[in-house]
Amino acid sequence: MESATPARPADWVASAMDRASELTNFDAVVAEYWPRVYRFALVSLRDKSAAESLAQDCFLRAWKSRDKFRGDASVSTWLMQIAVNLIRDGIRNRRLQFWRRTTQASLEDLTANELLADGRSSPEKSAAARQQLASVWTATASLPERQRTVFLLRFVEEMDLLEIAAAMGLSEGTVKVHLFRALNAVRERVGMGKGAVK
Amino acid sequence: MTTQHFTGDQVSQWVAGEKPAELAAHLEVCGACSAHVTRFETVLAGFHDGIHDATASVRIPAFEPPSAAWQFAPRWALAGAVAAFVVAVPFYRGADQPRPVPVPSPVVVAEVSDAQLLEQINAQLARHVPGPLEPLESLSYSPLEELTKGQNQ
Ligand SMILES: [Zn+2]
Repeated sequence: MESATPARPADWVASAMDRASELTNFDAVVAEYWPRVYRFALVSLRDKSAAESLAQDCFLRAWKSRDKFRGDASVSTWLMQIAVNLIRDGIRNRRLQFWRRTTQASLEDLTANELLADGRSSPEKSAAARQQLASVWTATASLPERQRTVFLLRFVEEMDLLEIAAAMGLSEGTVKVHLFRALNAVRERVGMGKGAVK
Repeated sequence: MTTQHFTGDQVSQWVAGEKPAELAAHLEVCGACSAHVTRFETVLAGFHDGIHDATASVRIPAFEPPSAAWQFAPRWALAGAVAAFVVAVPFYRGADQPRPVPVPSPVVVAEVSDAQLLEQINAQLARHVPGPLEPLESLSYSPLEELTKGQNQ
């Protein structure tokens, strides 16, 4: 009896096996992808401690389920999928607020200036560049959750629409809708107007 | 249509990376749209670069598998350390006294402890909600009570 699963090209299978074999050296996986997962968690949660804890959880979950990874997507996309789910669940369950209350005196989000204070080039960064970053940072804070996630994956993590769709479990079309709405909102909030170019 | 300025969605489409020929053709001839999308792309690139600069020196922790990941997961290290302490105290107190009745082997006790801890770790990993976001009360679990019961029976 033939399988209902469509046959996949041999080179695709080889690529998937390569991706899956990447997990055999998990230390290297952590070294390679920790900065990305942490960075995405930081810009999503706006809290350094929460971002670090979330990154830890992300890699622990990945390690636990590494045997199930078949290489359908890249390791990077797979890790981002885990991170997206952790962030979404943390926000929706309001666990994040409780956790932050126990670890910092203020519930205020990390500000752009605080973020830039850790930057390697912060002394040289122009006031205009800082202002630009701050304006987008502020704009993304008020985006709906999915729009913000799509925006950050695209413009901070440079993922393409298909990768974002895989990480978020959405169709490419839905990702595009969220991205366009996010961009329209950000464009307006950074003072570039809304609607058609005038 | 290349004679009308970009709509809002077309601006988004362009900066999102979708660049159909008709939009490219309009940008060739329209300074207003060209300047607008260039400015927006510069803002977005500045955001990207600023975030990457700010997180460039992030510390990458050493990873160890969960069964021994005390360094990687400090909250579990705490639970493990407390467990080890509570297990060790009864043996220490009884070290200089005769033991006419065989007591549970420390090795056996340790195996039970490891199994319980591993089970707890697996439960933590399997949770739907990330561990760091759980209330701190969740950390109050320990196999210690179970162990203590075992010691007292
Ligand atoms: Zn135009």
